[in-house]
Amino acid sequence: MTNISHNKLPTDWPVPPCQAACPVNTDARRYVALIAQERYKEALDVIMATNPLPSVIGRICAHPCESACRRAQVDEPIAICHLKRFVADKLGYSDGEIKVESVEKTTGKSIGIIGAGPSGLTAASDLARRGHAVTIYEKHPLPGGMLRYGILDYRLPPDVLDSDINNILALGIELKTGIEIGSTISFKQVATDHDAIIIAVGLSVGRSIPLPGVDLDGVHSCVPILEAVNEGRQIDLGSDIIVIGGGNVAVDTARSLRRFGERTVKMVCLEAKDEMPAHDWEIADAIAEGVEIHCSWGPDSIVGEHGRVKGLEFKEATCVFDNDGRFNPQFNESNRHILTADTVVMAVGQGSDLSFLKGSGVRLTERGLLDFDRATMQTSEPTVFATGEVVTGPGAAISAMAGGHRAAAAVEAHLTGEAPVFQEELTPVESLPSWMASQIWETPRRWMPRIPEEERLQDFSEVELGYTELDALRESQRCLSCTAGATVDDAKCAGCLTCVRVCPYGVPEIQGDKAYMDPSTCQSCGFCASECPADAISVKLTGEHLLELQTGIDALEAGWSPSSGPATVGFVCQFGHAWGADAAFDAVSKLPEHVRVVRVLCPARLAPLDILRAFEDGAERVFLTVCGKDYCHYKSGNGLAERRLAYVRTLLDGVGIGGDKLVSYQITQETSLARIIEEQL
Amino acid sequence: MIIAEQKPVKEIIELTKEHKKLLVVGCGSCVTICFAGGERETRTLASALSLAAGREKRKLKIETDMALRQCEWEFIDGLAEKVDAVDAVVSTACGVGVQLMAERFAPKLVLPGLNTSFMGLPVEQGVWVENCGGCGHCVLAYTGGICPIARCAKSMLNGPCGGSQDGKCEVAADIDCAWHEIYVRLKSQDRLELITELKPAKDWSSSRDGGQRKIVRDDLKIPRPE
Repeated sequence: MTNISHNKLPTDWPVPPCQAACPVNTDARRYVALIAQERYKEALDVIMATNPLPSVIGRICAHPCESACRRAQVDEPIAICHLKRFVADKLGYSDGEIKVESVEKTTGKSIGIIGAGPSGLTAASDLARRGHAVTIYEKHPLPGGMLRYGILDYRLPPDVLDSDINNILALGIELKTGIEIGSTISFKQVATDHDAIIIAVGLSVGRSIPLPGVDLDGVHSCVPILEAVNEGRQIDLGSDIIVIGGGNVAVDTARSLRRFGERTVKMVCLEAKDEMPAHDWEIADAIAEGVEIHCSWGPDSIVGEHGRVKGLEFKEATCVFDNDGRFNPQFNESNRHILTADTVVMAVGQGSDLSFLKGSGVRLTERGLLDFDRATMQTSEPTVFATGEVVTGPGAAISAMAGGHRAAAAVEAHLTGEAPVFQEELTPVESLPSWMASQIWETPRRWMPRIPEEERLQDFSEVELGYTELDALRESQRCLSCTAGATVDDAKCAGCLTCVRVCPYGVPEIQGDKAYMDPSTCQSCGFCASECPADAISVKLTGEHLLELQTGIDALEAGWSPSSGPATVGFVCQFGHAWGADAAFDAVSKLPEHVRVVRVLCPARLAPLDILRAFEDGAERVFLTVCGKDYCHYKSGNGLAERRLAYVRTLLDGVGIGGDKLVSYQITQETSLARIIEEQL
Repeated sequence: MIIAEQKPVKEIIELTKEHKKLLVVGCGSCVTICFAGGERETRTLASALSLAAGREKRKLKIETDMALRQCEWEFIDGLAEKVDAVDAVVSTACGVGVQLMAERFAPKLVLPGLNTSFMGLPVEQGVWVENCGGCGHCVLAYTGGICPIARCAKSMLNGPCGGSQDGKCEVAADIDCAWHEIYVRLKSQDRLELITELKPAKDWSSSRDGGQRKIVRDDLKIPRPE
């Protein structure tokens, strides 16, 4: 273009709320969009750019992304976590079918990581990818930390965990298990063997409450119980069990104990139901599986008989937190209550065992915690770094992984002498205004199929069964693609108002004499871009779709003279079809040789030129699938597409090809694309 | 603004079919806004010409470019190199732009891609109407802001004529009678007496009848070195 320069994207473009909320800033919007296009491998690449444990996190993540999802202002948030799992499962990543190649060790530097939990594994993955030699020391016989010993198989099957971890180790990381630093090998020795150390030991020691009766037989900490369950060891527990605690570990403990035959399992916690730190969905599952939950009760003493637990006395907790939000429980001493039990399990928090650091020079605080600087991720020893729950306290696995990235960046900076490149703090886009939320089609969230409640207690089989492809496609199509919308090249914009008039949502406005689309409301349909006479608008999301368009067209350019029929290109609506889940497509098994299909976000996103290009590149016939008048994901794309097709037909008539070579098929979401191809083409 | 429409693609194919290297140049102002010759239309036209050449087994190398306004010397200067490299140029500007291109790059053949239609406005997206005749002597002050030169089929100054029926022009049922509109507007402004004042015959020398028109503002002219 002569005389006209192009504007750059604004640098302060807001990010989608899911990405900003994710502790590792996973670009969820992008991978969800790629799933919607059935580009699963690319989706996995996007996930793995920030997350080396996709199959695991796709199952057990606390998914703050979903809590932030703006779709909740329309109906329900996108099932981002389920979609992550779908990709990992679909591609066989969680089954060990995808093999990761090792990375050459090029730097001559060696890093020791203590602890093979999510944080240590993440740091190891990052550092190995940078060409360092990495050794992980793990005290348990198997790696995974709390992922293996704290989360039960019905939520995270061990082979899935193994698959993710094996792919991290396959980068060329050495794993030494069964190594207790401080006894098997001294910390000093480990420090001597490596250029830097990362302490990522997590919180693997169960805390206890010093109640009267705590020494009675039948009083346990949850950690050894969960470890035993995970290792498949027999545990000797009674049949009437109380779990003390209201967090996720307490719920996991209670749920796993319900799976050991006919036992009564009760949870007792200080918090009221809506204050419980465990996730709502975990609590609901526990109740569904027969766990009794007693809220707002504080344990007072463990009642015993003949040296063995007989019950637990509680007093009413009137509040748990003070006005400043600090933990400061208050009790009504006169309202007491005894629950019978032959076993009491404490799940009231965990701590770290840092005794291995004694005499190492790595300082602890007065409270026995690591003396740690989050700004540098260093302990008091400059070559000793720390990450994960040992320094943050209890949190989600994904937060521990964020710490792992940060520690790796800090180590890298230390080794190279350069400033650390930490993950940025992202500012999410503002919430969706109600005038926009009310314009968006309500489409219920797809819930993942699960084992029926009555069958769950029989064993430790995974409760959530995974999405079908149809589920995944439909769910990913619900994404609002926040802030992937339109940007205007001011130098080209003629201020013609076309975008203002064509937008089905009323987003564009003229600011000064140029069009402007607010990224916090634009729905990324791209109609403005395909209609803009000045070609001044680009749309981030549809740009990705057009890439597929370009790829499809490049394939045509490569030469195409099918023998089975006239060369035919189909532009099909992503929302109209679920191509990968089209059962009828199996019936016709494959596309005929003369048909090529290019998915588009919505056919209204195609400009006349896009259609002509298909003819230019060898198509003798082009068809589009356009949704019927009752449904268009973007409200009015169907009508716009049909009007544009009529225009392109006049061009084709003029050129001599004939407008009849451009056909459109009206579809509904149930229409089988395979049938159209089979019967019409 | 100037409203134009693209010539039928068949006609442009006829105009260009002898040439093997073409440059299609769009214009970034009026004709962009009326969907006749902006970047989108220019590239679409190039694709159509290319398709036609392919069908007729003709060799054609075609490129596109844009000028912010083809009616300004400075804005088209930058096209010189590309123009040099082709056999002919299709300009999708209004007639003003086509002429300037033809003059600037003479003797290169510059062909029109559009039919320049009128000065007007979009009454709705996709519908444009003529609203100004460019007569050189505006009468809108007396006609309630409705132009009888452009909007009356007879360009009458003292209307309506006997062909006005139910507010429509006898020329076509979908054309509003300009003088009916003027009557309604003046009435709403309480200035209906204006319609009874007889306007003398118009001096058309300020319109197209006086040869190529020219406006000179000496105060704005920049003296050129001898």
